[in-house]
Amino acid sequence: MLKSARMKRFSIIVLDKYLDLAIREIGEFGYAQIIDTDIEKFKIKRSARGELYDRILHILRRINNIINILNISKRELEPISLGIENKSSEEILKYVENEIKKIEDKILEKSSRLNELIKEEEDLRDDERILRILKVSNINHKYLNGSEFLYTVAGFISKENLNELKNRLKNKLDEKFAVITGDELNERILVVILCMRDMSNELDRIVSGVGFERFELKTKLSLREVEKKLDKIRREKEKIISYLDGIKSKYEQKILAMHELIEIEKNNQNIRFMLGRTKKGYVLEGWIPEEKIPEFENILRRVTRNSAIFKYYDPKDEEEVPTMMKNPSISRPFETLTKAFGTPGYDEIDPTTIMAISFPVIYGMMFGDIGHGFMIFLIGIIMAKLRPDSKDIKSLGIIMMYCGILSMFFGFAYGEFFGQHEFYDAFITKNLGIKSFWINPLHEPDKLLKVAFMIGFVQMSVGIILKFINFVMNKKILHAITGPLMQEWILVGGFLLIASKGLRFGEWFKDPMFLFLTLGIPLLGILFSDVIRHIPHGIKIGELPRLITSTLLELYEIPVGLLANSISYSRILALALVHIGLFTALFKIADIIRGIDGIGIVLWSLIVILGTIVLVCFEGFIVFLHTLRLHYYEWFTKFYSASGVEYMPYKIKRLYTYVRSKS
Amino acid sequence: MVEPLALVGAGIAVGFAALGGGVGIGLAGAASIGAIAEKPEVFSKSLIYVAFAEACAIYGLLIAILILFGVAG
Repeated sequence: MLKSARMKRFSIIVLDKYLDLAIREIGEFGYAQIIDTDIEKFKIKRSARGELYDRILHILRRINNIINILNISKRELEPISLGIENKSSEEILKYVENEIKKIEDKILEKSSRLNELIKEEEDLRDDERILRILKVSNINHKYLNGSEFLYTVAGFISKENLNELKNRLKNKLDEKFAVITGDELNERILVVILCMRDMSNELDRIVSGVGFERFELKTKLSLREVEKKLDKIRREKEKIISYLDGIKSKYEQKILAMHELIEIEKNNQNIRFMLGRTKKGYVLEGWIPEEKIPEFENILRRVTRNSAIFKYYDPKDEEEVPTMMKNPSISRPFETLTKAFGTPGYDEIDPTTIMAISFPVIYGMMFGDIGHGFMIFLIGIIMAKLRPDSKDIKSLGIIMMYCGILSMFFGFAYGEFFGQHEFYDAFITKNLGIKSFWINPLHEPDKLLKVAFMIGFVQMSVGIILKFINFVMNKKILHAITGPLMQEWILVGGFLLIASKGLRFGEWFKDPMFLFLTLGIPLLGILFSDVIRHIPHGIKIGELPRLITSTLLELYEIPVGLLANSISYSRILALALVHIGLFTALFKIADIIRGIDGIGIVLWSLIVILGTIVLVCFEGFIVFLHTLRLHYYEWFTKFYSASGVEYMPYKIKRLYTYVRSKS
Repeated sequence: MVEPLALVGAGIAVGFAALGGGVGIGLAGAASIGAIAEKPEVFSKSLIYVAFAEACAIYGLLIAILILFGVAG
């Protein structure tokens, strides 16, 4: 629970002919992390990239093209078996190539015709728009077509620039032109200018200088003819689309299944490139949880007909052992938060399960409200159901559900229901007979502040104790004594001092013995920590000043850091108050509007409902961040180095296929 | 009954602390986003730097609470 799974490093030699099957079975098994084989250690060559890989990439491109044409999106479908899942790579590729050829024959021609129609339709739509404008402006479209001798320019110009255009035409084209103007349309006028073809360059120059918005007609057809053609295109398009839809519904499952098979083959090939090549076989290296070794070996012995050679090693100190987090299913969603900070080291304590308790409790204290807690719970359910394929979002959804439940619990404790204590009395106490049983944050902030500090004290103590255990487990007893033990002493001593003498420092010095016992001893321990740690190695007198001065900074840093961290927990009270304050403000605003005759109650309901949704989402997120911060900063920094490497086993993920038989 | 000057003091404590916290979070947050854009795995660590600045605002709030509710006795 607090320790990661024990790992073994393995080296396996597999004969050529069994390699494909062995890799696939390792992937189906899903617990072995394959690493680059140490070819120098074995004095062998790296496995080369074969022609199969290029063929796989080519097939993938073809399937992706089919997926695009048929507009297939990944969705939840019943997995199928194509009956080839167990076959060799060559057989799988051959089968898929044949099948996609059949589908391509059915759709490629239709698809290219569809693309032509889409292009043609786009061009005609542009022309249709221009022709409609011409019609509204009372200009015959034939003027725009020009001829062997005539050059035509059409476009829009503003009313103010029209005279300028006409003047320039008169001056430059020497009256050898004609201007047809249409009706005014959106403060612009449609203008068609005709001139002799040999003057086309001059005309182009003139129109480019007077804010002329030019357009061109690609077709010579009339508006009626264009509309007819568009209708014909639309019908043909619909026919092709319905044909492609038919193909899609017939082959969708099979295409996604084949895509998955080829992706698996690609991943299997990628694994091959990590291996070492011997004369007759391959060397695979990797990591596997100790408890999975018998099952792993059985599978590989079966597929290699007992020809594989296995060797297992204990991790060496200098090796980067992947960390396989091992937590009960109830706390597993919190692994997402732990990993977001960093993967625990192989020999480090995994804080996930403890966080699964403290996180919802602190969240619930900051967001204590029965109604709002229930809303957070619902948001959690939606998140968990929304993206079942995304492990992180699902985990966050489950975390929100836990947080929602604890918020409801603290809602009962505080007596808060939808942001109002009065609502709690009116709905919960009156109907269910449950009275609020703890602190009211608004009326007893001092009590909640003390509780917040106590929570901080407990959480930080747990962190320091975990650091102590980490040191002891790594056989660094002196480090454990001079480090975390002294820190815990300062924390406990500081709390005892404040609890007995208050915050007046003068009072502290009136009892010097008590002050020495609570803070003096641990501070001396910190001051001489480097000296104590060096005792087993022997210390020369000349080294003493250096060893003592090296810890001077810690002497200031540790007590101040612990004090600052403790104060930081006051945000539990702050956010609990903010929660109540925000909703009090919302109801005050809504109550002002309630007085309006007729629609007052409707507006009041609208503001309260919308405001509650917005505030719960907004504040729910803020509280989440603050809870996360208390864990990441105040707690994790006490003990958690997050220096591990994530365990990433090779795992074949099947969504659309299943293996019918493993024999 | 809280003294009027105590109310002003509480306001100043929380106001200036929040102002400083805001400026700090602005600077640290902007730098963090830049760092995360280059290396997404530093997200959690960058949150800690933002937390340094934000702690000042919490201290101010705490002082205000101590003043208003006389927790310090």
